[in-house]
Amino acid sequence: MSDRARILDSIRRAPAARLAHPGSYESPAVSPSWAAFAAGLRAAGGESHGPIARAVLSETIASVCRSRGDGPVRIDPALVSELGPGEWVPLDLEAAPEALADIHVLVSRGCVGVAENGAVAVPIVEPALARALFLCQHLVLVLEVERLEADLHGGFARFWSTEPAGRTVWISGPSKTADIEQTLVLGAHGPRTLAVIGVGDRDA
Amino acid sequence: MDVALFIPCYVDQLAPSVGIATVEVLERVGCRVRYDPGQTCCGQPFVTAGEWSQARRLARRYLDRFAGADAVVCPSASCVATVRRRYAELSLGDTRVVKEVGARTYELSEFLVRVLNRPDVGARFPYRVALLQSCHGLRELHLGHPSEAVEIEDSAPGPTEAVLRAVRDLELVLPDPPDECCGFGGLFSVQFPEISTRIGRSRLVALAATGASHVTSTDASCLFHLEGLGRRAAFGPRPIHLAEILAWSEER
Amino acid sequence: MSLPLDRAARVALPTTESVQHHETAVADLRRRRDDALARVPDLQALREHAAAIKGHTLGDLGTYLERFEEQARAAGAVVHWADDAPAHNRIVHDLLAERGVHRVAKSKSMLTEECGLNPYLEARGIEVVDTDLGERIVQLEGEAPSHIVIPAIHRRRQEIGALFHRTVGSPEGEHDPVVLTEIARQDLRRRFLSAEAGITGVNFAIAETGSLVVCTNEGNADLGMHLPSIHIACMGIEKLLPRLEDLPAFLRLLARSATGQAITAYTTVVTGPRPGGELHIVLVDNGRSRLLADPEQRGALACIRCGACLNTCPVYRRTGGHAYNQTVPGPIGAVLAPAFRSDREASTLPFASTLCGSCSAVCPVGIDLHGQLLAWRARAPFGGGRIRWVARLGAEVLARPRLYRLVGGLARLAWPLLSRRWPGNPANAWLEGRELPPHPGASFRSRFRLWSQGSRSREGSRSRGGSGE
Ligand code: SF4
Repeated sequence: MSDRARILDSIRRAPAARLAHPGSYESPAVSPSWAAFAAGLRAAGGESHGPIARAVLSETIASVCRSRGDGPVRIDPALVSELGPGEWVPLDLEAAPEALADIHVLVSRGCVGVAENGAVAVPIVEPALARALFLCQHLVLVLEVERLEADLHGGFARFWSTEPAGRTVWISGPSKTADIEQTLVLGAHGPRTLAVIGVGDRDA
Repeated sequence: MDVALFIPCYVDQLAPSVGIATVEVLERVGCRVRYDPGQTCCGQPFVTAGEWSQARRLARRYLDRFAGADAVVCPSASCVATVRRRYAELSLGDTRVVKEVGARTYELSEFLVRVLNRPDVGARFPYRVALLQSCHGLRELHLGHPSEAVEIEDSAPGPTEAVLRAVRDLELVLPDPPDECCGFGGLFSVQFPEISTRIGRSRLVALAATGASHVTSTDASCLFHLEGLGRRAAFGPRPIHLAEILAWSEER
Repeated sequence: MSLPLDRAARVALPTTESVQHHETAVADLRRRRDDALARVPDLQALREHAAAIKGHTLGDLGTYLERFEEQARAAGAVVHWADDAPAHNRIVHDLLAERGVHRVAKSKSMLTEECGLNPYLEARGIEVVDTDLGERIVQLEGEAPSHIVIPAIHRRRQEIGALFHRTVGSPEGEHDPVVLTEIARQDLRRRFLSAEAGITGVNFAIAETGSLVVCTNEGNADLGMHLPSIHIACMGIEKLLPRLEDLPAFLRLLARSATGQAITAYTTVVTGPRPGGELHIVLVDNGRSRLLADPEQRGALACIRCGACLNTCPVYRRTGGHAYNQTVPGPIGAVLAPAFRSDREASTLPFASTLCGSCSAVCPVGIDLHGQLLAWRARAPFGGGRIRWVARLGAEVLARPRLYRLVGGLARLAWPLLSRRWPGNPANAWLEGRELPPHPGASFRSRFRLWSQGSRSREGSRSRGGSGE
């Protein structure tokens, strides 16, 4: 008998305890606010900017990047076209991991944000983007304010109604650890800082 | 009201004054107290030791003795929790009797507040007193709000706190953390003496830090443990059972 | 009479200072958990929902495993099944050996700890680097994690500074956590870039989509799965959830219960390998299906390893995790021990609890931990000890009121003797660090007799002791 057959067999021989699935979770109706998201993000060690008008997005990105100090800035290619003219260097999707490790600031797009915990969903279909998200020193995510949900249930429903299950990371604040005497240190392996820039005009 | 007294074996033998105080308090609030000397032990030590066949014998005895009572009052939350919560797991046969006797067996402060609605028994105790919540009282009998239960919004004090707050001139304080176990645990205290005393000492430090002159609890067993530690270390507030505080009245 | 954990506690946390340090660190986690959960308006409903999903999934686990396998395959993953730890280790090793892999970056996984994967691979010439900072610390120290969420919680910064000085060449005397973390970052980054395969644990797996869910704060699991071309994910069969939609309830509870964060910094959902890469999923039983067949104990399979029950446990706080001598310590560890081990020590762990019930009260998925500990005790009274006759004798006495009175009277006479330590004194275990209470005086029942005869001596309630029998 294969291990597979043995395991399934032994599970099936266990006395049945069929319990109904509780169905979908009804979370309390709260409307998402950027202020709540910003608070959630702050608690997670990140910083929020905005919400800003689309017209000043390029400017804002440039200023956030500048505030991170000197070093190579790379932009998610999917975002470059939106930003219009500027000195944007798109992320090289063919770059070797070693090269990605030199990125100082990476700017990418968040797909859905969650107010209760400051998390932002980032699809990671492109391997280079997936790596860069964790190898860069500083991360900047652009999020449409309209794509904010109050809690994670809403966030999941919103995100996966349009995206395939695929590969996705929900990011809440910078990389962190408290493994040495509970002292919180930002930048354990991944980005040392995370900034989320809200674009659009829902409640400021 | 007629009340059957259940004085658990360890109170009977090791803390008789707690039993007497319980009678005094109950009589003061107008109860007629009966005491059946045929009672001994609820079986708790055997439940915790895993000796369930022995526990069953004692549980059946308890049910026999108290099946007819309207209310059984006991100055020990852990024994009440055994009767009310653990008997159901022992497969004792008639589940109706188990349920009924369990529902009618009360810890003293619970009885005063939830049955008689008399948190004030006319006691006076002019000291600062730290409350050591009994874990079984807290989490099995809901005599207070355990600190884990952050979802509970009800801020009214539970019965144990309520009766203490009604005592004149008593200043009630809680240690920090407010309701960690004292480390007694019955059999645990002798199977794991090092751990038990480590826990107890740290509770003692927390209790002493409140500046209280006394520490009180619904359970004399927890107090024995703290008293034993305190006497060895010559340190810490003086243990006094809840019933003894409630029995302390103006004329003293 | 003292049981193994009691002796082990003296070794694991030998000094008052080490106990205090551990106690404070762990209690702090519990406080953070309280603060975080107090801010969740729908907490009770959320916990019940999560528990119901776990209960449902475990009740139909076979179906969900097959569905998961089918979907994961459809997404391009390779699914392996391992009956036990050796099978698991063999599968992982074969995968690595066939591809000529010598360097592996591994992120936190209690399952691979349970299976002893590191020593197995190292003995076969494969270098495994634990990349979670806490795991890295215990790996360099040559010890096991002492906590399931914070592996090096028992270590102080000075010890970690000295360890890094010895092993990764940090400056002598440096023990600032920020500096030490930066040193580890630089060292591990190099190792990530040169790793040929990544091994990760799995927090949840989704049957409907064949997805894996991995939660970390450091991002180390992500580097391990996105950098090398081979990703091996090792998971216990109990990690399944039916649908992606079921996941948020658990994510909302997990980090809050663990560290008081609203969610971990990274929650990665992976379905199939990345383009050009390989994804292998190893489904491990190793005793879980046996536990599933045990109606009293199967509830423990709902555990999401948040560590809240450890953090609140008065016992764990003062023993440290190593004293438990097994992968998962604390209340959940004591519940799992007899299910996975058949040695006598394991049967004593369910006794290592005061039954205060705080563990059950904090468990986000509603496992009745102290109830399960009691149920284990009923199967092996006294931890399988040979003192059952004491219990019998005790029950015989307590079942006979007159005999009980007699024994009580004798104990009263012997009180001064019992209060002192001497070889063979039955009270010796109590007398470790404690005194007996003062002589109690006459028993309640004899005082009550006097009372009801009309001589209502109020003596008794004023002070304990004094009067004698
Ligand atoms: S048993 Fe419950 S509290 Fe303990 S680690 Fe598991 S999920 Fe967390």
